[in-house]
Amino acid sequence: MADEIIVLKDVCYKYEDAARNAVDHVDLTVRRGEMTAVLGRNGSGKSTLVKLINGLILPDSGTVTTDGMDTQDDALVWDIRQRAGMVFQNPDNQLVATVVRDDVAFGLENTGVPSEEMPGRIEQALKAVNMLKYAERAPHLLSGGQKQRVAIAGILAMRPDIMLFDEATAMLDPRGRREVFDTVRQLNREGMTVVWITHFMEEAAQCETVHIMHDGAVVLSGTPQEVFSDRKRLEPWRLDVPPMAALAQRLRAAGVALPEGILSIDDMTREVEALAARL
Amino acid sequence: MRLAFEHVTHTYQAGSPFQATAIKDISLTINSGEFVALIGHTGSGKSTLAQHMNALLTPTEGRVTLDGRNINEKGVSKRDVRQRIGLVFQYAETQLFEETVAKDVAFGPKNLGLSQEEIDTRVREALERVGLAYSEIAERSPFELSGGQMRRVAIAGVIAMRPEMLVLDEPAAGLDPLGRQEIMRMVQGFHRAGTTVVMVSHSMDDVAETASRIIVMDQGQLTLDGTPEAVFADAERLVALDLDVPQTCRLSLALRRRWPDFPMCVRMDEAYEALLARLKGGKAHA
Amino acid sequence: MLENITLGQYYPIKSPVHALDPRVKILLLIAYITGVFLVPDLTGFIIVLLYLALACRLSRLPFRLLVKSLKPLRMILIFTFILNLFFTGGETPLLNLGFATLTKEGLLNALRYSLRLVFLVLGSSMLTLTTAPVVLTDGLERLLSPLKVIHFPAHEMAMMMTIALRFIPTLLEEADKIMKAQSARGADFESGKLFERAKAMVPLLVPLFVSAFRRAGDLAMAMEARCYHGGEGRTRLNVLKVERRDWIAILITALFIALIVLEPRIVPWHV
Repeated sequence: MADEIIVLKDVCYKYEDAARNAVDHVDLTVRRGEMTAVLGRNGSGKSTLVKLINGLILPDSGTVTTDGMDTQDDALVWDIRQRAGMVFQNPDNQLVATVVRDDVAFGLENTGVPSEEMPGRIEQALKAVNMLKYAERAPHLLSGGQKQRVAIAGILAMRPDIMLFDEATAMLDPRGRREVFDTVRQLNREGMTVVWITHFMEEAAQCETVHIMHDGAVVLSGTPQEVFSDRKRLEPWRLDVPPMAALAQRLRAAGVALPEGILSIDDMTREVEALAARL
Repeated sequence: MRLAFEHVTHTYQAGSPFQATAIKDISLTINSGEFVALIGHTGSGKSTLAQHMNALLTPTEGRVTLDGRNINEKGVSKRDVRQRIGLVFQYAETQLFEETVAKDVAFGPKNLGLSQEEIDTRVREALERVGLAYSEIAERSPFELSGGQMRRVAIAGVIAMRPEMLVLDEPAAGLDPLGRQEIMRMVQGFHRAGTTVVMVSHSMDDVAETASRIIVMDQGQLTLDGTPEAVFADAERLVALDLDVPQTCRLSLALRRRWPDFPMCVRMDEAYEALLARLKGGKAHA
Repeated sequence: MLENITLGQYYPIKSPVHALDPRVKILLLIAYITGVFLVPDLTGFIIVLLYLALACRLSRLPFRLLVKSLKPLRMILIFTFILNLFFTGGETPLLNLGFATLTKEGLLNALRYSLRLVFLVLGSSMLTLTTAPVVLTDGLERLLSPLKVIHFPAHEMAMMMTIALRFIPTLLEEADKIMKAQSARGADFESGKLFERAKAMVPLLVPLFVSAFRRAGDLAMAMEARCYHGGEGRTRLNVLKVERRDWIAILITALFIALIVLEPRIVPWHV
């Protein structure tokens, strides 16, 4: 189906010297325009999974099809990486140039975009992440959230269809985290397909689909409401539900008639008010 | 033990065109047994403040005293100060350098000039206190451990100096939720065992559940200082500073639209009790 | 905090000299150096001085900044001067000091060699003060790119330079942090004998190397993800173009060389 932009079929991947598969018989589909969260403990295989999607690593068995292209096809590797951009965890270790503008240009230079076309695309990309006024700055003088937004601009300028985020907010403070997450959420609303790896349940709760990984396998998939309905269910994978979901569950257990599916403060406030009005 | 800041100002590269004042006229006192959380944005001066606590930075103006004595005075041994006040940096695992975990943890005690016997005892004790099994881990290379384990080894390296006060800069940063919880529990354990704790943190939820006192920094100045209840009672002010407040506080603020007398809940348990009281079996006010 | 350090000598202002094409600037420096070596007698240095003064004026650099670049070389300068003063020999004694004789030839030679050195340094500083390191690297890459036919890695070298420039502040900051973290564990980086101090650096250097390697791995991965595959087929954001001001600079420099060569014929005296 044309609608399915990323398709993994029975994919296995093992690192050299590793005892077991980092990604183990994974089947996974991402629909065009969707924002998908991948959760799991450190070492559960989340990062390996996204690196398979843009061909940074190739599956030992099974197939990965990204935007209709098989990642095993040598001839397509640069096309795949241009269409599926990736932002990494450490904001310091992915910017190449000494000036923001030059860094955003990096991917364009690599893919042979004509020089005359670059300034316009760079400006557009920096505008989309609200960093245009920092175009002439040195990256090391920016905050963590700003650096990550520059990294996003560097990908955006290449006009991808898919953006992969490998714990892009893990090293940021709450303000930086909000800046980056809101930027990505906005890009997704404008049509970007997003795969968002995170440790923050609140972020996962705002995605359309959540996959949980454990020991290299996808063990649970569904909407956030489905995945976060029961604290007990997540225990074997040593994960927790968002704080408001936990609170709702405790209240339900005590006999308060709150519905399932409460994930955020807004949900909680709305449902509490509705319930109080009925009482 | 009593650590006091008296009108401390710190200016980086004073006198150069790049000079920048990181903290301005800070006065505060920390006493034995406290669990202080230091919060604020990146660049608000928290880390600069923390690095004054064990004389890693010297005030440009004002003074820092430990039990009444200026710690930056000539004749005061910096090593003694740093033994009494341990500082764990953010992403502390980046400081590991020895071939084995045991040797790395021994680095601090060794610098204190202790006997080999005493060093061994302390290494065992410190590893145990951070929840690592000495027999399993002592002879391994710190570089082959998981991220969370490396963080613990680094913390053990400071604990092994047996500080009276422990200053931790974002001890749980970058870990997964369970790793975070484990580190937070460990820090609470240190506090219960009698160590004074100062914790720099971004996570308001962690802070609300653990600290006995909260200090809020903004643009190099101390803006709020008090118990979690007192500080978060002013949740609106924190939100205005673009700082996070615990989720329970945000919930309380939202619910006050309906119930203006809804209490400001700082911890999850309080939110649970307050909601239960209003929602269970018709007890709710309309 | 180390975040405000400036790398190299670059003095970031706007001026016609700053705006010159870096390739042209590098070539002009080479021409200038040749010119300085061609200076036939002391009078010729007046021409060099005038040329440099003009460049300095146009670049809007404070003169003291240019002079400051001589400071690290002062010992070598003094040494060069004294060496030439006493060991040139010659027939025209000026002063007898007993252990050595000062000659006119010695004095002239000493002046000539010292001035040559001074002007070489001032000229090179002119380039580094008015050209950002990255721009300089860029210029070098393009000047050297014809050498690719003999497998000279011009692009790779330039990329390495750029990355080094990008990461030096980051690593300095990191070094500062690790040093503090080890000090917090009682490490002493300041006192002790040379050997002890060298040994005390281990707790700083090992973590720094570990971190640099980790960063390098991360960066390589990020560059690959952004389609980096060497210099082939690469386009550039900044297109270098030789413009009118570059031609003017070239013309002035050509005139400068001509004046130096012709100086003995124009000027009636010879010193």
